[in-house]
Order: sequence, then C-alpha cells, then structure tokens
Amino acid sequence: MDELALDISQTERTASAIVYDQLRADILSARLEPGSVLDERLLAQRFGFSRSPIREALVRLWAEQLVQTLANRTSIVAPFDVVTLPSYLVARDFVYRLGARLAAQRRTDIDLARIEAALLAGEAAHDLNSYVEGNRRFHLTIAEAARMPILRQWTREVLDRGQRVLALVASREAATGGLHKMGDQDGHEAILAAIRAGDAATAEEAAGIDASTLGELVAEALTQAAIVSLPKALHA
Amino acid sequence: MKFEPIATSRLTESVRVYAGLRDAILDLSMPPGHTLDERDVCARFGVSRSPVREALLRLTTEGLIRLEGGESIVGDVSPKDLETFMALHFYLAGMVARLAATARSSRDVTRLGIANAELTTTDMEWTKAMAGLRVFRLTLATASGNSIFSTWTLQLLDQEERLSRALLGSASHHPTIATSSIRRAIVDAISRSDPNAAEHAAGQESNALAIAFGSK
Repeated sequence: MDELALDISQTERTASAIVYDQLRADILSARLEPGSVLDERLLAQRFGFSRSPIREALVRLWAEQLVQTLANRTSIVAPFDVVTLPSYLVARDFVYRLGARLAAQRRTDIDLARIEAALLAGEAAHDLNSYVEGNRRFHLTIAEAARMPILRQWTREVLDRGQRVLALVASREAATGGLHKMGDQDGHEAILAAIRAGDAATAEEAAGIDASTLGELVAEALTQAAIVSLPKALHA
Repeated sequence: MKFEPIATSRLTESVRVYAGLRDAILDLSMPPGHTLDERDVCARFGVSRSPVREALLRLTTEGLIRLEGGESIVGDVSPKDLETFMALHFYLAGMVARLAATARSSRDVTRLGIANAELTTTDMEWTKAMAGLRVFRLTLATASGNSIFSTWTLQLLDQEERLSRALLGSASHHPTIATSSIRRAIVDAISRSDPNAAEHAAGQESNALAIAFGSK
C-alpha cells in the first residue's frame, strides 16, 4: 500500500515536471500571452494528466511569479507590467555587476572554461532565440562562478523576466529591427577578460556597461512596441 | 467559474502548512539539514499531500528548503553561508539605501524614523528585535521603489533571522541595539536625499552586523 502510494507520487512528480517545463517555456517565449487563462481542466486534457500534477506545476510557476491566481482561484499567465520595467532594469544591473565582481574573485579554471564556452555559444547565435539562450547561459555561468546560490537564483529570476520582455518585443514585428544589434558580444568579451584577470572592479564595470547597453535597446524597442500595439489594445 | 468550496479549503490548508513550517524553520525548532518527510508533515498538520507539496514548493522557492534527490531538506546555516549572506547583504542594502535616497517620499522618511526608534527604545528581546528589524529593512526597501529588491530583502531577512539565532541565540539580547546610531545615519542621509551617504551608512550597518556575527 505504501509502496503503491510512493509510485503514484513519483509518477505525479514526473508529470508535474513535464507540465512545468512546457508551460514555463511557453510563458517565457510569449507563446502564452500575458493574461491568458490557465484552466486546470483544459490543461489536464491537453497534457493527458490528472489535475493534481497540473496544479502542482501551476503552484511552482506561481512561486516564480510567472503565474498569478485571481480571487476566484483562476490562474492566469502573469500580466506583463510595464510599470515594473525600471525595477527590472535596475535589478538586472545589480545582479550582472555583483555576479561579475564575485566571479572575478572566486572563479576556478573550470568556471572560466564554462564562461568561455557560453560566450562562444552566444557568438554563434543567429536569431533572437539562440541569442537569448546564449546570453542566459553566459550570465548564469558567471553567477555559478560567484559561488552564491541566492545570487544564482536572483540572476535566474532576472533572466526570466528579460526573456519575457524580449519575446514580447519580438512578437511585435515592427519593433524587431533594433534587436539585431543585440548580437553584439563586445560587452561579454570585456567581462570575460576581467574575470580571467581576476580584476573585480573592471569586471563589475564591464557588466554594468553590458546591462545598460541592453537596457537602452529594450527600452527603445518596447516604446516602439507600445506605439505599434496601441490600436490593437484600443479595439480589443 | 463555479465556486469550489473544497479547493478553497485546500488553499487555506496549504497556507497553514506553509506558515507553520516557515515559523519552525525560522526559529530553528526545525533544524538546518532536517529532512522533511511529506508523510510526517501530512500527519503533523492533519492534511492531504497536495497542500503539503504546495507549501514545500513555496518554501523551496523562497530558499528556506533545498531539494536533494527528491527530498526536501531544511537549508543550512553554517559559517560558509554567513560569508555569502554578508556579501549579499552588504551590496543589496547599499543599493536599496542608494535608491531610497532618491525615490523616497516624505512619508517614507517618517516611517523609517519610527521604525528605527522602535528598535532603540524597546527591550531588545529576540522576537521583538527580529520583528523590528524586519519592519525597518522592509520600510527601507519599499522606499527604494523597487519591488524586486523588496522581495530579495525579505529573502535575506529570513536568512538573517536564522543566522542570528544559530550564531547568537545564546545571548540574552539581540546586538541590533548597538547599530541604532548607524541606522539613524541611513535615515538622515535618505531624508537629505544623499545617495552616497545612504549607501555608505548602509554598508557600515552591514559591517557592524558582520562583526556581531563574528565574520569580521
């Protein structure tokens, strides 16, 4: 009886992980638009699971602030709040700079090799998705080298938010022009060089420049996106 | 959507389990490294597995529990974590104070003054001191106008409470009263809208905390 209960629990865990991974990817890539209703029953049908793993996946996403629960217990994809954009940009500047500073002080040779590999992956990026993936890996690897689990988690949070911002911008065709500039890797190379040299102050400075360059592009593209999407919003 | 009384009570159960476990983890009655068995937790709170799992997930996201091979383990509080905590505390507190100096409203300044006065005048018995520090730091984070930093401040406060109890729990008084003058300097700098002075004072408070913890 107990063993059976454990088996069910394991299966549910796996099911919940599948649902979680898929929904998370859909939310971050804006395939699921902000504000979309996530109905437990429909999701259970779509994935072919019972409602319990669906609910568990939603709770995990809720804990990561990617899903919100309304007063009537309906779950929706967390609305994208333009008001919090400045907070996000400041928070990103903070984790990028702190990560680079601490990584310069604490990195091992293995860390360095990983950061280099992430940089190369970013350089090979040919579209927005692979660029975003490369950028994510680069900054997460640095956070890893900083040897602080909390900082790594904060970095992940910030990258998640950034990914949503970029995906939403990219979904507005007219605004994608400026995003090609983001393939520019000079900023990342400067960070890597300082981390390799163990120069904390320079690493922090380079990371700050990297964050502000991207920040300007995102702000610019988002302003365009807001104008472009206005009629759509008014007629909705 | 149809009203679902069962779902609603389940939500309440999850919150109750979450709050109960959180309190036990923060006051160390549930010790660092302790493995949380789902079935034990179900029995302890008299609830089914779903709300327990929800509560555990939430605590994991908040960094109070870590997952290891499918098991939920209460996060460690060790000298190694102290170094990490102090570094994050130093930088985050500095950043928050800097932002607060430019973003604060006059009401924020009043609130900060009151929060620090509470910490100066009350008998610094543990629970009160920790609660007072929470109010002060969260008021500061609110004044910074950055909701992300508020969430992170809250996370560090949880860590600070556990570290305080683990490292200084045998002392009869919390050492926070000693840093009251430094906190006043933070509030003064913020009321003068001086970001550099605010950041500097916040760094001093952080260093004083590190000394109290014996990490410097």
